Amino acid sequence: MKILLVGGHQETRFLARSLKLKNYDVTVVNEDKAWCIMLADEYEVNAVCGDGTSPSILQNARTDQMDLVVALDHKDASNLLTCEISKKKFHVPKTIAVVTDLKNVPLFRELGVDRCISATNYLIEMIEQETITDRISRYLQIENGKVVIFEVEITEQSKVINQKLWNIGLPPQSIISCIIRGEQTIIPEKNTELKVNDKAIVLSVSGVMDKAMNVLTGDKVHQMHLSTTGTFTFL
Amino acid sequence: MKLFNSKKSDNVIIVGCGRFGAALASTGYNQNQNVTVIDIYTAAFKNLPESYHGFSIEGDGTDMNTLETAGILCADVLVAATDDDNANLMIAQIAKQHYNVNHVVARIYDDSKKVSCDQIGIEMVCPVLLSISEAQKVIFNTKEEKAV
Repeated sequence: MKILLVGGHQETRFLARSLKLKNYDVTVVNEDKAWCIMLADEYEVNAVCGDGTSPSILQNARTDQMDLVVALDHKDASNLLTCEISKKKFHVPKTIAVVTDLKNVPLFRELGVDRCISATNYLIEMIEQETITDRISRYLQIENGKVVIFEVEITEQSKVINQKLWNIGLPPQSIISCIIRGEQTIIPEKNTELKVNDKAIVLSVSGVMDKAMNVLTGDKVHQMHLSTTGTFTFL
Repeated sequence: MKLFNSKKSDNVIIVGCGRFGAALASTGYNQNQNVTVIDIYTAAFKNLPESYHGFSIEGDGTDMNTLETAGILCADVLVAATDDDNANLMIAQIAKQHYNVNHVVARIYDDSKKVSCDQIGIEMVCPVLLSISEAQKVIFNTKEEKAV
């Protein structure tokens, strides 16, 4: 597979190294000539020095033969243009843009970039996961965060102990998909009851995640942290 | 192409307040258009003549929030006139494809970058091409005069 890395600095270096180790055919385009020479010497990649948003430079880098173009510049506008030229002029099958401004993720997709990677987004996700780990051990986003799966431990304070599942008042669009009781795993039915120290695996849309958690844990402390999860629904 | 037609358009947004952007803004304002200028630096607004009393907004023109503050939702014309070709192309595409602005003009120094402009209906102003055609006119005319 032939991969073109456009722009970027240290990240290009490490990406080039690990891609090269996996035997991909790597080409880099960078404006910094010394950096190009270093990359070419050190990692035996093909390097082209120049502006990665210029069609003639991309032509020199044989963009038309690439299977994948990754735009790593720190300016979102440049990455958009690199992907656009690769796609429309050189018919590259797949383009990936690194995006700084989170709002640009849906926009770039609308404008034809195949995939956007946002470091900010990952950072926010990690911070959120850290913030809420005191009550939920793990949570997993599906479909870019529209749906979440999370694990809640039923403690003694919980008001749902020994109640039947149909009776505990989980919000609509959320279900307990599995209960882990010691070594046992239970796929619940409506008459299943929750016990202390059960772990409930809940599947819900992200909007009702905090509500569902409040029902199961019996407190409202975590509402604040989780309200930000709503921002992911549009991604 | 007539940017400021006699019918009063809803909103004219000009991104980038350099010589070009500022002059365009003041022309539009003098023709009673509802003009808003955006620039990332407040200092750029000193390029506007004192007679200009339209809106000016400090902000990043590639940021959709800034564009919405400037009223892109009811804008009829947007001119991307920053000093960065890539930014101009991005702004123009946002305006055309995301907000469906009627007339979108992008000033682009390097015309090889205009891959998708024609397809999606962004009009392009390229100073180099304009200069060449003007210069050619001058050269052609002087030759003709000599011949006479």
